[in-house]
Amino acid sequence: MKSETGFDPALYDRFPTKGERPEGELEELERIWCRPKGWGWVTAINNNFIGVYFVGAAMLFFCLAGILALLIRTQLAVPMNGFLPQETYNQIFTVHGTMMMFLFAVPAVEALGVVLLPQMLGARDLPFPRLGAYAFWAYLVGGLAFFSSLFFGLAPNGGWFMYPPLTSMTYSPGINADFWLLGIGFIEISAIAGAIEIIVGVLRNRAPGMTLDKLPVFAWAMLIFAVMIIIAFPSVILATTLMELERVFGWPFFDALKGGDPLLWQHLFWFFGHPEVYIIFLPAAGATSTIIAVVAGAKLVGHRMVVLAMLATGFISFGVWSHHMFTTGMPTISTSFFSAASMAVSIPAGVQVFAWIATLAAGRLKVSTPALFAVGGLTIFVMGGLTGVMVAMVPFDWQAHDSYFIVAHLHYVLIGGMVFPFFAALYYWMPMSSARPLSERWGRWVFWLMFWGMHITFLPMHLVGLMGMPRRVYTYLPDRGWDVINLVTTVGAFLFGLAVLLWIIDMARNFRPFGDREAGNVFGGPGLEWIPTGLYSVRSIPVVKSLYPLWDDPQLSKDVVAGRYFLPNSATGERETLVVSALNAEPQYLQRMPVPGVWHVLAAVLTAAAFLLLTVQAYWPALVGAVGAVLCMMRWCWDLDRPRVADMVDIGAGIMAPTYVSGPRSHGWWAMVITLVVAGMILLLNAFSYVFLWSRDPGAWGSPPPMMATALLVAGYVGAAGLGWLSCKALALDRARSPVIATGLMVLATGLLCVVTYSDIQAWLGAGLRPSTNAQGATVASLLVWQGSLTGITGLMGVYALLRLVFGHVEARRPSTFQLIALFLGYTAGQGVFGVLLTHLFPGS
Amino acid sequence: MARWAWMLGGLIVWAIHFLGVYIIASLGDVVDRADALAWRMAGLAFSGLCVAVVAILLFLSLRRLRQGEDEPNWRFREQLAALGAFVSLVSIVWQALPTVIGY
Repeated sequence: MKSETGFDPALYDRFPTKGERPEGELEELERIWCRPKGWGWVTAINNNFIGVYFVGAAMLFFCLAGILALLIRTQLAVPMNGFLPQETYNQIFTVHGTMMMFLFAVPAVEALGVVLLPQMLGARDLPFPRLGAYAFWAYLVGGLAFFSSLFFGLAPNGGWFMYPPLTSMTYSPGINADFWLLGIGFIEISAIAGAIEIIVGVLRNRAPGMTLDKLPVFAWAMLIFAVMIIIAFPSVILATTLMELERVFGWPFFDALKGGDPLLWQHLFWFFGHPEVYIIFLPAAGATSTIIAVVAGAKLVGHRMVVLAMLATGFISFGVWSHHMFTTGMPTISTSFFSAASMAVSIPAGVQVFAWIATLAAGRLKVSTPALFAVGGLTIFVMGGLTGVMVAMVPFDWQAHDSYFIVAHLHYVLIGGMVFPFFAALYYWMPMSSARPLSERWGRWVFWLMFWGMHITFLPMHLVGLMGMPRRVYTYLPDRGWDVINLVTTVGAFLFGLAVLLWIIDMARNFRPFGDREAGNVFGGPGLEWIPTGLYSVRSIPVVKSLYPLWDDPQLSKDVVAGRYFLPNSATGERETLVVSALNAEPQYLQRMPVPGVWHVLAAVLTAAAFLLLTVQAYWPALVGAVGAVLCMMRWCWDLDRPRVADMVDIGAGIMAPTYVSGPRSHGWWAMVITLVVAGMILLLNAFSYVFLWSRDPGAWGSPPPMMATALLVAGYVGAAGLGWLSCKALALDRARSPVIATGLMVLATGLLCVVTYSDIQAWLGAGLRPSTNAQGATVASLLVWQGSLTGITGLMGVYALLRLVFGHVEARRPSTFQLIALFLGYTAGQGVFGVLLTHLFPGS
Repeated sequence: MARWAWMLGGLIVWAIHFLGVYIIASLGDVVDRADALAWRMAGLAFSGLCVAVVAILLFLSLRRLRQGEDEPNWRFREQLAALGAFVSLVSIVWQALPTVIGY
């Protein structure tokens, strides 16, 4: 049988190994992966801690945003109510929507991945635990600061999608909108960091033998989810940056008087905003697929169709963003394309729903709280999906747009598609993460209160929407027929709130520090996550031969716990996990993992501080915070490319694997490539903004710098990339002066990049372009700002390379650092060439 | 990477098709009218091209499924490729309808 990497699959036959394992192996694992003591919980990095923190924080934000929902419903319970002042109401509904979407929904499902994936994949941890911890602390600090803005009257008030011109400086002159723009941009960076970890983790840290057809459906869902984040989230980062640049410096991206267009914001926002619905839905669908198979006691019907449906959803969801813009006057034929895609996306969603129903029919449902939440969520989601097809029809959307019908639709989709499955997941996997199940009796109360509370709240909203009640109004006049419906809706909301309160009490009971903690595989799940684990995750990493390993091999769990598979010990005396090939999961090398430390926490806090200080326009303190964050990150990266402890080690049953790999096979290279995809998406969307604003008023655009400048700039960028490449080649020669020559070339390359970018800026200034004059100036400047940012980072990398030379860390046996810097540099140079050619040649003179 | 591209080929063609027809209509809107006959026909021609590509992908993946391969995981990959190509074929035809009828 052909191999993907040269690994001989026949070696798998050596497992499970025979005989007793040497004494002390388990104790060593426990020592290496020990529980943090004292303040050590702040610096903890492995998923058992960070994942639980993450879920806890997401649920905290869910509860806080839920309280805001109750305030909204109290205000709307009766007409002409004065419970909340109008301005406060605006802030509360804006923060409610923003928190639910940005601080609960996405982080919650990402958190679920961080908790579950290592155990589910049979890995010791995800590949970048410090990055995961950084993402968590950044999210927590940023989220709490964002929520706290409510108490100072500084919370944003323009709705969760912050449309200009309402949010422009003219109509929102305070710093409320800035809180949203900078806070959300920052939190999305945290989401992207988590997504990088999940993509590399799912593809490279699986148990050997876990080929794609044996990859758990939840892991598939998390993989697609993370890729979608990488594609979609740069859009909102760019949008918020452009809006902030307009607000602070007057660059007219969205100002129609100067050639900008508010519709650009809608395009950029919804290119992120609609896929986000599926970003939230897919992991929940993965959890539902897993749970339904278990509670039905049958394998998931149509597993491959479900995987395909998830992939198709991921693709098609990027073709539906403008269905939020049907009323903006886009050409009819364009709206038809989006309408068709919006209807088409219901096909993969339908495939999943029918697969779940078929699985329930094929098995025998054991009624439990996770089963109730999974089936209840399915019901609600189908109802929301049906109204989704209704609003995908342009004429219907024209009637329902901005009415409570839409509010009802989106809550049905999000609660059925994410909240209920998430609660199902909490009840299902709680015995795994806390070793203690939640109360079944309380759980049923929680479910039924939540289920009926949800319907009582949102079903009548369809009606009141069709009766003409617009969304976002803080009160309404009596005698319009809306009074009773709104009162019923409010009662339903409080029922929902009661359900959440009961769940909080049950959670507090669950995490009490006394009593038994030996729940085991309560629901009889088939996945690796149900193998008994410690803080080191699995005792040994099994060879996976089935999609349902524990169902198909009842002996597996015992053998894994006895250490009869890969990595039964610590081969290097450090934290480590296996890295496998992406398709067939063949073992490639041993990844040495980091230990807890303080630098990523400091970096997160300082990054958050920099963003918050920018919000209040304290630019110098913000700069100090940013410099501090960069220094912490450099210190954190310092330990990434460590000296080798051994070239090859035994990873189990006498199979040898390297402990150091560089280039495209290494997990670090993958992370860098994904990071560059994020950068590339920002570039592409920036280019879209440039062309879009040109198309608004082509006649107003001026001439670019002369052609000679264009040629010189392109040559400069190509030269910088070439020097970076030469630097890696020089290091690979492995001669006495290789480190010095390689470092010199790298510093030269970064220096040249800085000079070329600066020259491009000067060329445009020489051509008379000013960012605040018109849309051309603004968009060219935004492309240059992006290029300048990456060039600045490259410059820091040059300094970093120099420091590594000074401290003796540059050697041919450890080329990773230089390869990654060269990769980043090469991308930045390529981006520079793209930007120069686009802005200098299009639309031309 | 080539195997991933093959496995997701149909869906990638769908994405390219979607962007293509959107860009063609947008260009039409700048130059003339988005639903002008010439621009609609350009969109339709592009859709036809994409349908042809995705049909070839479907044919090839079905043929490879019949032939079999000596590699773990191959059936899963080919099945995903075939199913993806089929879904894309339907989606592209569905999405080409506005260019046929003009709105």
